[in-house]
Amino acid sequence: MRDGDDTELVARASGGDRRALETLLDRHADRIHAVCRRIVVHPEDALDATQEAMIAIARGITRFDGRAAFSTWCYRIATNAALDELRRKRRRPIAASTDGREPVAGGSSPEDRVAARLDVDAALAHLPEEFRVAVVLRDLCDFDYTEIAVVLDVPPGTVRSRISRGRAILVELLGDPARQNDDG
Amino acid sequence: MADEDPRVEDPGDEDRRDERIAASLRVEPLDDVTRRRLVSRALDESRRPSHALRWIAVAAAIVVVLFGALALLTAPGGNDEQRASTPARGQDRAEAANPALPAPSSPPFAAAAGAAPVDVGDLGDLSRPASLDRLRGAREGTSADAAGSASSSKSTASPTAPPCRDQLPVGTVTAVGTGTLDGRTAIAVLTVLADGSQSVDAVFTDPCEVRHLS
Repeated sequence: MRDGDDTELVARASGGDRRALETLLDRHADRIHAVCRRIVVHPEDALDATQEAMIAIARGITRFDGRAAFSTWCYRIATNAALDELRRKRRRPIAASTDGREPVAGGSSPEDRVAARLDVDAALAHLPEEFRVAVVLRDLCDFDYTEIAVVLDVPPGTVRSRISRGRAILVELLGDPARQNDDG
Repeated sequence: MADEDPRVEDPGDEDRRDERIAASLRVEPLDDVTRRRLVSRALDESRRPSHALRWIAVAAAIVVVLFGALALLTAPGGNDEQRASTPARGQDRAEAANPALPAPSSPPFAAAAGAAPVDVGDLGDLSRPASLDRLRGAREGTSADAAGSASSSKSTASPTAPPCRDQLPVGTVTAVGTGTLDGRTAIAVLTVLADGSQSVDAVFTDPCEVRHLS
């Protein structure tokens, strides 16, 4: 993690150093995009959410109080931006190339990897939103249950339940994720 | 919540991050062009006011305009009342520009300063110099007491104009009184002429006749 390096950059960015802010945004862009991509699912909508999250980070950098890691703060903002995007685009059909019900056989070819990614998108698209968000925050962002409860404004017990059920559905839809990843 | 699951009795294992699912959820890094575009736009947008602030500013401007319009419409003297009062004010301005013009509501013989002629009442026999002196004295007394006291002047002012005005000498009528002359009822009129001199005349009615007295 680069949170140690982030501290000085955050201090400079909060003081108006645009270069420091640019470096921070560039450094965390992939993580922010990953959160948005997995929550929103739709690639273009995910980019829109990523953009909104980065704008919110740039505008709110002076309000970052340093109580959490900067990366955690970015994840929270990205999650909220993704949820906002979902609310805006709730009626838009999610484009997915497969229905996600058929696990993709593992393979090392580029075609197999593309197929595997589509399969993850399709599986996530079939996952109810509240389960999807909880699983993404836990397994992709590595948030603990208390943090997820705060972000989603639900009790920790509900978070635990959503993660458990979400994972179960994902495993069912994806087959064996470990094998898929190992092959890819 | 409906999704609260009481069957999860031992959450210890489940609380740990599921590395297999985490691996499945990994996303490929953004390409450089997209990343630079996102960063650049975020930096640009952060300098501008947010959408919320812009909407608040627009809403505030609309509220200010509405309140302004409302205030104009409901203010005393606003709109219709202003229009109705405009001629009166215009008249005031005309009078100020030309004080010689008499106001419609003021007596026709009002002095240039706006004072109405003083009515001294019954003077008796107008052929006697004493009667005429009373008329002159009334005018002088009024001038001396309060040249600018309009209310005082108006309290003794004659509300009616002497008849046969077109036969009176040109000037300002400052005092009037009643009396008799040659056995006929007449109105004594004191007129201040343009050169400052005074003229006292007796005005008979029926038929209209003006006789210079002094």
